[in-house]
Order: sequence, then C-alpha cells, then structure tokens
Amino acid sequence: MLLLLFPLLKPQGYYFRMFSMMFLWMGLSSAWNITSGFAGYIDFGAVAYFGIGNYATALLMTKAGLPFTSSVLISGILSSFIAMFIGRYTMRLRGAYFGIATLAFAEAVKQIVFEFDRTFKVTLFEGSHGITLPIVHDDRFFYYIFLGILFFIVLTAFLIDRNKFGYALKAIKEAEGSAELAGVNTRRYKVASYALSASLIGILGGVNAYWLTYISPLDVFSVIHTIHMIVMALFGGIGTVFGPVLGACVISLANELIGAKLLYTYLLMLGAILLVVVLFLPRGVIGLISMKRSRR
Amino acid sequence: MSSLSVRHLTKTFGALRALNDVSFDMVEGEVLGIIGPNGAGKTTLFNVMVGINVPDAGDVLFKGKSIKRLLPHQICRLGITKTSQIVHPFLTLTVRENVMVALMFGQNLGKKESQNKADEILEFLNITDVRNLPPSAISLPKRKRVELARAIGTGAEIILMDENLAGLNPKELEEGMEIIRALKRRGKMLVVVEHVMQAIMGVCERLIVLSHGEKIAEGIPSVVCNNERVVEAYLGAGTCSA
Amino acid sequence: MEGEKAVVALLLQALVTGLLMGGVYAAYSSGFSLIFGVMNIVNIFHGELIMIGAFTTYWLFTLYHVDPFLTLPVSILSASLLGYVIQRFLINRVVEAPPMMSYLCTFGIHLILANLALLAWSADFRTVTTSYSGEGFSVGPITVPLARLATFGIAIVTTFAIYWFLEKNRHGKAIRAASQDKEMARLVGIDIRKVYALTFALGAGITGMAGGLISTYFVIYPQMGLPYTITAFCVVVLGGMGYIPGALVGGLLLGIIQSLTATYLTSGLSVAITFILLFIILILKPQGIMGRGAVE
Repeated sequence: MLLLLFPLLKPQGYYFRMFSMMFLWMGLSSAWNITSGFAGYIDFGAVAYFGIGNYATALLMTKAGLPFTSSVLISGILSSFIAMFIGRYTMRLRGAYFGIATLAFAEAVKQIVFEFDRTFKVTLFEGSHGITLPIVHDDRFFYYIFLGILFFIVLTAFLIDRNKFGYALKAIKEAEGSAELAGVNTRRYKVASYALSASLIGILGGVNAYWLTYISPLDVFSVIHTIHMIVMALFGGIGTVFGPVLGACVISLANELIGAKLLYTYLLMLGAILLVVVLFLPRGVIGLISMKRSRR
Repeated sequence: MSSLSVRHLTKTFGALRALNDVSFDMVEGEVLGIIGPNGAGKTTLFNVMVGINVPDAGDVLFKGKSIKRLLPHQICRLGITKTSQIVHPFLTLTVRENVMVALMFGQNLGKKESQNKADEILEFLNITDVRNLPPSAISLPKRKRVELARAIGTGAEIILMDENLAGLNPKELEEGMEIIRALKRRGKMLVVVEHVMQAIMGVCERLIVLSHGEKIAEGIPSVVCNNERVVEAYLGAGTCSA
Repeated sequence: MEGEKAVVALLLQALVTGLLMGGVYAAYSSGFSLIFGVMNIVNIFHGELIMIGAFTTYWLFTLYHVDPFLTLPVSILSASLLGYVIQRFLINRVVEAPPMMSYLCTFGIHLILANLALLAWSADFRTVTTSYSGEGFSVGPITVPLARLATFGIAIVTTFAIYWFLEKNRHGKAIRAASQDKEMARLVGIDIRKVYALTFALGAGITGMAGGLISTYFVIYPQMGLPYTITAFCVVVLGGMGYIPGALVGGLLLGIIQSLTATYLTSGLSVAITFILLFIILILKPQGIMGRGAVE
C-alpha cells in the first residue's frame, strides 16, 4: 500500500529508478526461487532467460514495430517454450550437474547472440553493437510496472506454496524418489516450474530492455545477474515465499552503494556471503528469524 | 488370471547380476513373502517391479499389460507402490503432509479431502499423535509407519514392503503384523520382504526364496523352510523357526 | 590440385590442433572427474585451480625467468595445496550435506578466488612468451607448435599416470574403494577423511599442472576459470561421469570438435558448441560415449 502511494510525494527521478531497480531484483530472485528454491533444482543459467526476454522485446519493438506490452508478453511466452525444451533434458541431471549444464546454457546463449551476426553475415542480433529501443522519459511508469510484476510474482509464489503444485515441488526437492513412488509426475512438475520461472524472468527482462533503452549481449547475459539471483534468494531464505524479496532488498541496496565503485570487492563480498549462508545459515535470514521465534 | 506376473526378470549392474531369470505369479488377495540372504536381489526385484529400474530381460505384467518401461508414478497410479528399506520421507513436511502428498498425487484428491483421508490412514496405523511433527522428530519405527502410510495413501492395491518391519521390538512387531493382516482384510495385496522370520511365518501365505539373484524355492512356508537349497542358502538349519 | 591440397591441409591442421588441445582438456578434466567420482562434489572452482597454476607459472617466469616447463611442479604444488586447504576447512563441512550445499559452496569459492585474483593482479591479459614460444616443426603442410606438442605429451602421460595410480597403487585403490562404497571402505579400515584429502589434493594438483601448461600458449587472466570449468564438465559428461579413461576420450573428441568449429566457423562460438554437444549427449546417451558413466 505504502509503495503504491509513494509516487504521490513527487520525489526525484533518482528514487523512482532506485526503487524500480529494487523491484526488478526482488521479482527476479522470487521468480528464480520457484524452481531453485521450491523444487530444489538450482538454476545457474537463469540469466539466459533474462537476456532472451531483453532481446526478444528489443527486437520485436525495433524490428517488428510491436508495442511494448505485446512484446513483453511474447518474450515471456518465448522464454517458457525454450525452457520447456531445455529443461526436459537438463533436468535429467542430478542437482549439481543441472547447475553447470544450465550455466553452460547461459554462456552459450550469450556467445550465440554475440557472435551470430558476424558469423553468419546477417543483421539480426546486432552483436556487440547492441540494440537501442525507443526512449521513454517516464520513471514513474517503470516504477509501477516493476511493482506490479513483482506483486504478481510474489502472489504466484505464495499461491504455489499453499497448493498442490507447491506440495509436488517440495516433495521433489526433499526426496524425488519417494515423490515418484507417491504418484508425483516429477518430470512434468519440474519442467513446469522451470518454464514458469523462465517466463517470469523473461518478462522482467523485456521490461528491463525498454527501461534501459540500450542493451548489449555482454550486459544482459552476464553471469553476474544469476549470481545476484542466487545470493539474494539464499541470503533472504531460499525456498520461502518472502525470503528472496528480503534478500534482494538488502543486496540490491548494497550493490547500489558499493557495487558501482568497488566491483571486485563487491563480488568478493557476494562470494563470502554465499559461503557464510551455505556453511552456517542455510535457511537464510528468514530461517534465522523463524528459529529465534520458535525458541521463545 | 493373476493380476501381477513377473516373467524371467534379469537385471545386471556392471559386473553384478542382481536378478537372473526370476519368475512368479501373484495369487489374488494373497500376502506373499520374499526371503533370502543379503544381496539376494530382493530390493532390485522390487525396484524393477515399481519402475525404478528397467530390466535387461523379462517383463512385469500387471492386469495383462507390460509395465516394465513405465515410470514409478505411472505404475503407482495403476496400482502398485512400495515402501523403501531405507526410508526417505519428506523432511520439511509434517507426517500428515507426507501422507497427503500420496493422496493428492496418487489418487488425485484435493487438499481438503487429502487432509481428511490422511488422518484416517494415520489413525489406522496408530500414529495420529505425531501427525503434526516432521519425520525427523520421530523414532525410526514410527517413520517406517509413515512410509507405509504414504504407500497406503497412494491408493495402490498392491504394496511391496521392503523390510518395513525390521528393527522393531516384539510389541511393535506384533502391531506391524496385525497391520498387515488388516490391510489384507481391506483388499490389499502385499509382497513382504523381511529377515524377521517370525513376521514372515505369521502373515505370509506363500513364500519365495531368492539367492544370488535366482529364485530357488516357492511354496507354502512350512514346505519352503525345509527345502534343502533354502537351508543351504541361509547356511544352517533353524533359520525358519519362528 | 593446389586448392584441394589446401582444403585437406586445413582439415588436417584443424584435426591435429584439436587433438593436441584435447590432450590438455583430458588432463584437467580428469581432476574434475576424480573429485566427483570419489566425493560426489562438482567442483565449480575447478577453473580457478587452472588459473592459479597458470599464474604461478607466469609469475615465476616473469619475476625469476624460470622456464615454464621447469616450474610445472610448483604449479602442481600450489594448486594442490590450495585444494587441500579449501577441502579441509570448507569442503569437508558440506561433503555429507545435500548436494545443493556443496556446489553452492564451490560456487562461492569460485567467486572469491576469481575476484581475489582480479583484485591482486588486475584484469589484464598476460602471456608467457619464451624464446621458443612460436616454434614448431612441420609435417608436410601441417604445423605442429612445439609448446602444444610438449603440453599434449605431458598431459597424456599424466592422465595415464593417474589411471595407473588408481588401479595399482595402494593409496589409489583406497580412493577407488571409497568412491564405490564408503561404508565398506570404512569397515576395511580406510580413513575416509584422508582419502578425501588425497583425492582433492591430487585432483587439484593435476589441474594446476594443466593450468601451467596452458599458460605456455594461451593468454591468461584472472577470470579465465569459468569457461574451463564448463569445458571440463562437458568433457566429463561426454566421457562418462566418474570414469577417468572416459575423460581422455571426451577430451580428445571435444578438442577436435572445437578446433573444427574455430577453423570453419569462428572461435567465439566455442562455449556454444560445447554446450550443444553436452546437450546432445544428455539426450542420446547420458552415460557418456563409452557408456560407463554414472547416471542420475
């Protein structure tokens, strides 16, 4: 509620942009969490769908002249189809191998988009030139869009958590063999969650392209984005509904403050946070809070 | 005609031939026991029957149709499930939710209905007191009951029980055997793998003996236990005494 | 006639280069496969071990002018030591935990190592250029660079040495026993912790050596690790996870395919090709080409 009313205070554009960025990340990590946190299949290649969303929207808007909304929706659908295909095979792999396979997938897509035009002598992805989208000077617009999508994603996660779909994913995460024996069609549910995550990430990617106005392969396909999703969700509490939101809040702020100036140190810090969470706080901040509560 | 037939099953893992031409038919409504020394292939047999492994040769027929290539969840929906020797419950769910998963996905029930039916099953197995606890917080015998509850929750008519009664004290063992008899009265067919002879003799109508992946005997308990090959396999007499 | 000869020559050159590369791939992938086979750990900082080995060689060469091939033992040692320390204090805590935790842990270590290196040495590309760097000899129309040939030789010898060690040596056999059945190994009196330590140190050492070798003919830089990790993963999947001789086959195969891609398409697509290959194997034959790998 507060957030909806905030813009009425007519703050400076900077704040809109900062909140928009935070909403973007809260949304991304929540979407990532659906597959990685609920189902337990840690996706190291999520940025692929972010990039695909960026590029699909950019190309549809610039080359096919489609309006913003349609482009973004198509980007989301495209992402989910690609995910269904990739997931069908990569999810045959055990956890860690799924991680590296998806990582390889993301790097491969990055390379393909970067090298495609040059290699096949066409003008499609524009490779290193990047793509420029129509300019929009409306920070408030993006504030609401990102907020709206975030709300939708968190609502989706919440609903999944309470319902049959959520039970299936949790069963898969805990004991996939037992889940199969209990009648859960593990493949279908795994791939479904992966496709859902992908479509949501793709949609956010599409909005991101329009927001930034200029995108290039090395930026939107950078593994750094996946790293952020991972650390944010883990820090906040992977597998919970609100954990990723909390984690994204904190870490995107940290990024804003430190990240730009001291990049390597910032990345180092992310790695350290990751280790600390994995070794000492596997359930993240939310986990810590609920532990403290149950002690009382 | 028998609803479940195992025909010439052979399964090899690398250099180990776990199953070698094993065949048998189940008799309607029976409680069948499978015994044999460690490593005889009992668990592998179960794994092939529920679709965890695909046999190298042979087939498993359920109601006339081959099920050897089906996935476990499909076989579960058709009507066969198993309890595992080493239980793997869903640790972050409560006991009741563990059973609900089976009801929701094995029988396609809704959340509310699953909750009610789960409670029924838990009561039948006498573990209602732990229904809101996670499996990690209860004793192993109770966890084994949860495993069985899950199997019952799937609605499967045939339950393969892999050493579900191992490690129990006499009272728990007697309760376990009574549960098996109760399940039979409810129309379930059971295949029981156990080392605890008392249990086997107490509930099984027929026995099959496996050794080194092969079936070496089949028949009613008293006859099987006096079979020379069986005695040899267990290295000494007195193995069949209850 | 001349045209035809040129075509054949180009093909043969690509094959030879690929073969030579493949040998090195095999060497540093064996370490990866070994660690996975015994400890069930997918080591995502694998590439950083290569990087450490490479930089060790680089600094010894640049500061003290010692020939890169002579400093190989030091590379082995530095990587080995690093591996041992990390294993003892960090990895050991997650070895028995769910796989998710272990690869998140190695991922965190990857981030930390890569960025520490970036902070220490800057992102500049460096090379090790010796007096014989460009030398090669010709077999007909084909050029065989000396450095690469020597690298290939050492790599092949080392891979066979590892294989021999695992088969014949007492400690090596203990490692194999532990990988097949931990409980049994314990019962027979094998100290699992020592096995883990030895395995990791060995795997890391051979990987560090590969890094040192690579520095003789490739540019090196602190973030070079990740593509190598992905390659190692692909090699191991191709050859069969946990199966050392398979790493050789996988390595050679990948080397040749990458070389052909670089020659006929573009070297920029190397990761993409790696992933596509990985994907195909996963679909058609998840146990690897020789069918001896672990599948899950």
